[in-house]
Amino acid sequence: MTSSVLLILAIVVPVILIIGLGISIAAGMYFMDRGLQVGVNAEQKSRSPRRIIRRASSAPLPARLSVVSQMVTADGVVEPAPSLRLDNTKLGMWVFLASEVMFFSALIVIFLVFKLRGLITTGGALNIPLGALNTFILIVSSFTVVMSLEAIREDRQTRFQLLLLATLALGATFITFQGVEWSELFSQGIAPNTSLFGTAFFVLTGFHGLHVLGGLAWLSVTLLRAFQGDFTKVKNRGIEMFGLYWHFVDIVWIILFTIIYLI
Amino acid sequence: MSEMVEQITYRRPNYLIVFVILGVLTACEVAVPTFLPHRIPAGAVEIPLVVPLLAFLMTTKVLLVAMYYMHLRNDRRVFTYIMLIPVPFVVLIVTALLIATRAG
Repeated sequence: MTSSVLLILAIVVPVILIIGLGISIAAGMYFMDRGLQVGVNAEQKSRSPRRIIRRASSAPLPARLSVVSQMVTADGVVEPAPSLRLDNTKLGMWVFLASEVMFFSALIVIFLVFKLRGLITTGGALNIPLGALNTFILIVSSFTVVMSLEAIREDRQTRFQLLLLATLALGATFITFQGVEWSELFSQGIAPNTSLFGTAFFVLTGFHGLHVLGGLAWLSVTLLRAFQGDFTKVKNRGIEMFGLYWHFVDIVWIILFTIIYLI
Repeated sequence: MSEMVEQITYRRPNYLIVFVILGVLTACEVAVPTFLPHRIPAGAVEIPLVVPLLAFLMTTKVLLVAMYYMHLRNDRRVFTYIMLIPVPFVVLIVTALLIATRAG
């Protein structure tokens, strides 16, 4: 198999997967939303007392639920009212993570298939103890993130800030160890352009590392906001969204560690 | 949060226990290829041992993080469905790649 075919596969496959995901989600949301709207319209027509959407006020139901309806969140932000009774930000984050699943799946699948076909061999070049340590570091960081969310929900500000700070330190440690691993490989003559293993390894761990760096940038901003007292017991959606992203990055590394280092 | 968003309340899982299990599973993952034979003989054939074990350990860890740390176990089911949407595409691409590399 020529390198140009591999390159085309590496580019085309993720693009096809992401487009497919986008179409699937858009179609799913459209039909679910349409189903709710039909339900509400039918309810209004029959004047049934049962309400599909739970409402705090006694104001009459709108003539037709629409994504342009507005609501005020606990953060005091006016945003489109959710037609599926889902938090818009959370829904958006999960859709984003699903697209990330497509992206990493394509890369991981290509790596696995090449390995299955005997086109990739690590040759004992990888530092398994360091990889295991990095896995453990990310697991600890996931724990500190989830505990920080619990801390802010209990309004324990100092504990919340310290846990976020610990997450930042753990993420930075992960990146540092990743750099050590990369430099070890370079010193052994393994680079992205020297072999198929080099290409696959650096693409996979590189994209994951970029996601960790992105997470650290997000966490730095979040931490600054935390020190300014921007998050409270009721206003903590940003922490939950960051947590979802960080746990996803952790999951990707759990998979990468197994398939690259151990299998 | 607006009343138009369905609120989910659930009993907080013990995150520390989940963390300890994840740590132990990681240690097991490193130990499995080190101490166990990759294949075990069973009559005329050999059954792979290490790869299925590693796949099981990895899947368990992924599910633990997704269910408890990402709260998919208690959150709205639609989020789980969203995460399952990529699965058919992944199966499709695995099949296509296996066929493509065999032909090549």
